[in-house]
Amino acid sequence: MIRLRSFSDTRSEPFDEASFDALFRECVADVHGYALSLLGERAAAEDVTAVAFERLFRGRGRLDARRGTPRALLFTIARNAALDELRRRRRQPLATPAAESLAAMPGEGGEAEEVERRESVRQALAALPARDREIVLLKFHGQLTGAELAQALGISESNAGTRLHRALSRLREGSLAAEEVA
Amino acid sequence: MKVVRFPTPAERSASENQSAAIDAALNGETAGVEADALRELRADVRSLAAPLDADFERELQSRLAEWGARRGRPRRSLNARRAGLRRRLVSLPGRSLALGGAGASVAMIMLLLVTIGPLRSGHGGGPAAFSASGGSALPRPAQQHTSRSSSGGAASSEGPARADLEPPPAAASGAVSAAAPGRLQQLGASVALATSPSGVQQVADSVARVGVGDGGYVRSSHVQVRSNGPSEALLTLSIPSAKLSSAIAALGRIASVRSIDQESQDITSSFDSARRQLADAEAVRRALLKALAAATTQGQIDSLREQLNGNRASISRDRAALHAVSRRAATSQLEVTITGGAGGEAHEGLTLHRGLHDAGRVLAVAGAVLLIALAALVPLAVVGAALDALRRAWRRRRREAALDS
Repeated sequence: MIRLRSFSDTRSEPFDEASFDALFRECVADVHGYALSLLGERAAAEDVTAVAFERLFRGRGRLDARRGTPRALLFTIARNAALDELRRRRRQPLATPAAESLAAMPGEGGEAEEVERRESVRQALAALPARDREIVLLKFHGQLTGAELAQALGISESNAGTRLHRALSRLREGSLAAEEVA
Repeated sequence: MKVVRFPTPAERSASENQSAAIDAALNGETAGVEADALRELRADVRSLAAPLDADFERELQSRLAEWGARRGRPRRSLNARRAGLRRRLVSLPGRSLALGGAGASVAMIMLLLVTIGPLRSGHGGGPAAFSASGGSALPRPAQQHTSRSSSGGAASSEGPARADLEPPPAAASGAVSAAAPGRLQQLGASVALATSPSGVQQVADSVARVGVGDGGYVRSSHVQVRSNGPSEALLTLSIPSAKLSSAIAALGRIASVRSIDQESQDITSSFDSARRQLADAEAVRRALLKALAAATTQGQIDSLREQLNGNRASISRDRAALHAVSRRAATSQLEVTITGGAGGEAHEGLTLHRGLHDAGRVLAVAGAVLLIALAALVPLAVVGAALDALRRAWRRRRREAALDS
């Protein structure tokens, strides 16, 4: 199993331009995926992604390693930008996922089971309350630890853990139910 | 209103354990069906989002490289600029209020310091800030401690025992205006001395010693020493006119001289008139004595004796008048005003003591101004911090509300 995230391990290093470049390469796809899943529109997700990196770049001189990793800060910024975008446009977050937000499904063949499973996950995710859906997206796309998740959400770590556990349970139950229906 | 209770320590521990278990499973640190299912769920959720467009990634990467090359602030998009403006406007009640208060306080401090500086330097004043002529220009603050002595009544008993019929020496030279040959002048002078408040008494004593040492005396003295505020002394000396210049020079060695006023009055005619009257009276006496010697009858003798008695009294009066005029020319009145205050040592030059004193005063004033500024700033900072916290909470609430819509 490949460990997806690694940038938080560099928290003791100075956050110079090389570090920023490494963070960009490592996280740009995750930030985009999180924003796209939350906003449901590619253009808006790209705007949020650009804004997140721009704000982080402008504030890189003030980064304090004791207050969190650059990755956690990046996803905090991305979340704020995405929520601002949602509030501005009054867009329903992933209530009815736009076609462009979905990845290209595997074609016919031996992967039909995988297609069904992903469809059931998509339905279950769409059926989740917005707050549960947001925390799942932040956890899976951002790959944040419990503490980083709490920091991004502005809540306590135990509260974040409780909410995440509840949201994942609902997602799995919803996914299983959708699979049975199918 | 939704009330969310705080988790108990046991619940907190359980939730943290759950969070740690999820992290371990997602990081591949644990094995088993549950962990595999969680990792599979993560992969499915991540795969739902369309992949990042390669063109966008390249464009963003080039912008990142451009920002890094410029080593400055990145060029902000129009939307970002609008958002920044909105952010600054929203933050006005909080942080900007505190910053504005701080700026106003600093400006107030600068204004006070700029205002106090000229006032303090002007307070010292230059020399001859006031004329001590006659002592009438002296301020007379309420007395706290006053000592007074006077010997004015003894003036007539001092001086020569009998009138000198010869004109007294024309007094003074140098600083005091010299009299023309054969003329008599009455001289007077007023000297203003400056010293520290604590040195007024000592200077007054020295001035009195100068007067007595030069063959004169202290006609009157008034010394006022205040523990808080300016002190002053006024002495009136009567000294021989010939010693007036040296006395003034001696005063200049005791303390700094702020002003010298001198006056002279020609009294030659008064002296001549008094001398003529005396000469006339003495001529009458000689004639009476001669007539008395030639008198033959008792009536003539008695009459002449009576006239001689009257003439004796007249001679005595005329001699006293001549003596008085002569003494006016022989002695001079010297009024010495001593002031001790903040500006008393204005032109004694820069000394270490004065420098330390002024530095202390400046620090005290600056401290007081800082204290006042802090008294104004602290409430402003508290209000600003509260407003800033409210603004943050309000903004977070608005963001979260976007999820509920």
